[in-house]
Formats: sequence, C-alpha cells, structure tokens
Amino acid sequence: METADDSDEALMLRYKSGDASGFDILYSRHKGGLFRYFLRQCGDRAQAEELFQDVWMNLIRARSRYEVQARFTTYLYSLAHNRLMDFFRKKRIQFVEVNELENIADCTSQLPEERAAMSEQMNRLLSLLQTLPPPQREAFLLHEEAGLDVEEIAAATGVAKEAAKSRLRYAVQKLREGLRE
Amino acid sequence: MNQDELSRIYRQGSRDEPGAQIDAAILAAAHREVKAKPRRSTSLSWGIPLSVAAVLVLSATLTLMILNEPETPLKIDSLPAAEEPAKEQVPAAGKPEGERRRENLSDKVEKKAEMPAQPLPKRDSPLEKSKSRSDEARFESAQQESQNKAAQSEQRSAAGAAPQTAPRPAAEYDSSSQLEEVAPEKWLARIEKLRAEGNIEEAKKSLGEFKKRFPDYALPDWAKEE
Repeated sequence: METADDSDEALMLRYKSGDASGFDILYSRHKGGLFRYFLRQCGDRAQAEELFQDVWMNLIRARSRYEVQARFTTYLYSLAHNRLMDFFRKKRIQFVEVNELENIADCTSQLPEERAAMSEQMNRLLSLLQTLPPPQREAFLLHEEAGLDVEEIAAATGVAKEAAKSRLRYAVQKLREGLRE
Repeated sequence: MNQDELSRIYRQGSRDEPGAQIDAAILAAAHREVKAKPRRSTSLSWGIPLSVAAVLVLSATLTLMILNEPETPLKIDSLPAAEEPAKEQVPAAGKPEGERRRENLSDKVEKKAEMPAQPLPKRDSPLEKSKSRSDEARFESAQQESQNKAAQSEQRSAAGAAPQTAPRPAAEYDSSSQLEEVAPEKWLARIEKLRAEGNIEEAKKSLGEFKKRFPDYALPDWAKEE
C-alpha cells in the first residue's frame, strides 16, 4: 500500500501497474509547479491550463511504457518542455536567446486582489522574469518550480549541460541585478 | 543578493494553481485509464510469435528450395577451340559439328558410369583439338588397329625380319598414336623409319591412317608419292 512518503518513481510504477491512487498523489505534488511553469512562459492562463492538461494526458496515456530512467520530475518536465516547444512553434515564436515576449501583460494570476497581496519584490521579480529570453526564463523556472539541478535541466530541455548552466546563471544574474535597481 | 534569496522571493508568489475543474478532469481521466481494459499493444503481444513463425517458414522454404534444386550437369571443358581444321577419322554421319559435339558431351555425362575407362586425351593431342571425334569409335578403331599391328609385328618377329633394334612395333606405335595421341610429326617420323627399315607395307598402311587422320596436313615429299 502506497503512502504519501513514497517516491515519485514508486508512485508512477504503481500507477503503471494499475493503482490509480499513485497518480492522485503524484498529481497533487506536481500540479502547482507544472501549472506555473506554463503560466510564466505563455502569459495566458487559459493557454497555460490547456498545455498543463495536455501534459498530464500524455503521461496518463504513456503509463504502460513508463520506465525509471531518471527522476520522475525530469521525465514530467521533459514532457512539459516538448509541449511548450510545440506551442511556440505553432505560434511561430522563436525560442531563442532574445526576449520575444515583451508584451506579456501579466503572467501571474489575473485577480487584482491576489496581485496586491504579493510583495512588491515578488511583483518586480515576476515582471523581470518576463524580460528574460525564453531559454533563460525556462531554465530559471525549471530550477525553481521543478527543483531540477543543472544536469536535469539539460536533460529535460535537450541541451548540453554547459548550455543549461549558462542559461540559469544569466537568468539569476539578470534577476538579481533587476531587483537591486 | 544571492540565489537563495532570489528563490525565497520567488516562492512568495508561487501560489498560482490550476482550476478545480481541471483537476477533476485530469484525475478522472487517470482513473478511467486504469479501469479500462488493459490496452496491450497488439503488435507487442503478437510480435514475437509472428516473428518466430516467419523465421520458421522462411527457413523451411529456403531449405526445401535448396534440396529441390536440380543438379546442374557436369560441363566437360575438353573441347577447346580447334587450332587446325577439325577432321574426323570416324565422323558421325550426316550431323553438323556442333550437334555432334553436344551429343558427345551429353553422352559423356549420361554414360560416364557405363563407358569403359579410357585415357584422357592430352591437351595438345590431335584428339583434343578435334571437335567432332567420337571417343568410342576412336577407341574401337584404335584397338582394332592395335590388334592388327600387333599380329603383324609378331609375324615379323617370328620371321626375324624386324630388326631387334626397332624401338617398337609399328602396330604399337600406331595404336599409341591413336590411344596416346602422338603428334603428327612424330607419327610421320615413325612412318619414314618404317620405310627406311623396309617395312613398306606397314609404312603405307600407317601413312594411310595418317592421311585420314590429318587430311590437310602438309606431307613431306616422300609421303606425297605414296
């Protein structure tokens, strides 16, 4: 009998074997981070929910083929990265080291009262996040929301470790500089 | 400000969550997937047995094909292109050279077990150069010749006319000329020797055989007079 202390990998294997409660726990653990990962990058809540739902459905359909080759989080966010790239490709948004999403008005909750409750620093940080080039922004979000290290970020995004490292470093540097101002 | 501080600030605002409807839809889908009939890939379940069956069928087919392959007849490359006009001593009547050659080859293949052992013609022998000579007919005529010559030789020996120094009787030589395929030059030399020794009749007979055998051969003057 699985418990909430079981690892992500063990829960996913139980779900693979037919125990749906394993999926329930997994979902509750990762739904917030995955949703914010999409929200911060596409700038639209409805769009973020659509991408979010697509990723979980893909995971559900692929449960019989799941194998523990890496951390479950890395697997989940690699699915998320691929779905995001499909979205950008469809929108003809180039995922390059140049900020193409300058006009994203709000990448957080659109409820004004919620925004008001947030600290000024947080608001500032989220605004700065939108000024980052998409690859750097993604690297930062994978680190913060998914808890991935540099190597796992590289695996999830399909880039070399050094590339992932520089993206994260530049993202942090720019955010820190922006908050200092 | 270090990275930890940055992370702390970021997590302050990390409250955005998907809507309840989204949660319900996804969880329901996950449970439906498990309750549904296990979706085993048909290709995976049938793949291995089908592959094994395909390999077995292919192996059996190939094996049967190899076993049923007809034996190719032996090709006897014993009749290279003639360097001089091919003439028969005992020609098969009325058939073209090519057809006689094919018949000879097929005879050799089919009757090789029945034919008596015969010495293989030498590569530079007249027999090998001739394309239309029947091996059997040649052998029989040679044997007959050999017997005739041997009988004559014995008679001469008994009469003491044949010199003791004669290397060999003309019959043996003639038989060997047909059986062992002596070169025409040697054959003529032997005939000439017979004439010189006084064995005119034998020389004439041998020359007659020679002319039949090599009708186009450029005879020396003494042979033309015969």
